[in-house]
Amino acid sequence: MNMENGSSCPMQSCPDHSGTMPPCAGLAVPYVPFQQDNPQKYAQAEALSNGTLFPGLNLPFHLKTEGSTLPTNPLVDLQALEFVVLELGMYLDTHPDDAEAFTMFKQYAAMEKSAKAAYEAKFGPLMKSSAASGDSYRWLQEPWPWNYQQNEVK
Amino acid sequence: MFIYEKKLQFPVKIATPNPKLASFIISQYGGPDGELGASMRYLSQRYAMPYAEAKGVLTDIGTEEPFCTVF
Repeated sequence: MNMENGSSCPMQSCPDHSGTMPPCAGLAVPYVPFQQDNPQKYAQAEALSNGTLFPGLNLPFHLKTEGSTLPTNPLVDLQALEFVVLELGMYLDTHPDDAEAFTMFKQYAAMEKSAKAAYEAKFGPLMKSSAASGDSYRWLQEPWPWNYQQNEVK
Repeated sequence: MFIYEKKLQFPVKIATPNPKLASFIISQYGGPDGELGASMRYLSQRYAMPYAEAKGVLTDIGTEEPFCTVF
């Protein structure tokens, strides 16, 4: 056992729902288990629906639903991709050396970029800067985010 | 810096419009001890943060914290 300091755990084979802890820990200090490298991940629709990319962090405080309960449409598809990029970005902040996650981050960032361009070409600009790349100024075109049809239950 | 995206972060379905609940939610959002204040605190805490990982996390959380609502 490492008696010098408790900064890292030598055992990297905990199950996916578990995290690493310092082998030697200061007394009377509470610890949060650290998420391990290369954790299991949901597909993007499941991730957006569950509110986390990581099954290990999907804690059953409430009714646990794993499959996506969201409608399938171009906007939700884009929202799901953006959510994965967001989650991976935050994961990489604390696990910058996880090469597999970084590769996935690059793939999803590219997918998000092209999905966004396709969405904007069809439905109009999502950002002011992309309002500059059309034949006319479409920024004021309905719907605004609070007016989408999907917001209403029929 | 703030850049607006003309879409929600998460699909929203309003089954029963409820102005009273809406006023409660908006105060959780912009009122005292709301999300906007928390966001500013996260972003300000970065200036004294010595660890790169935590600078990144504070930036990401401070950026996303307030913008999961209907705007």
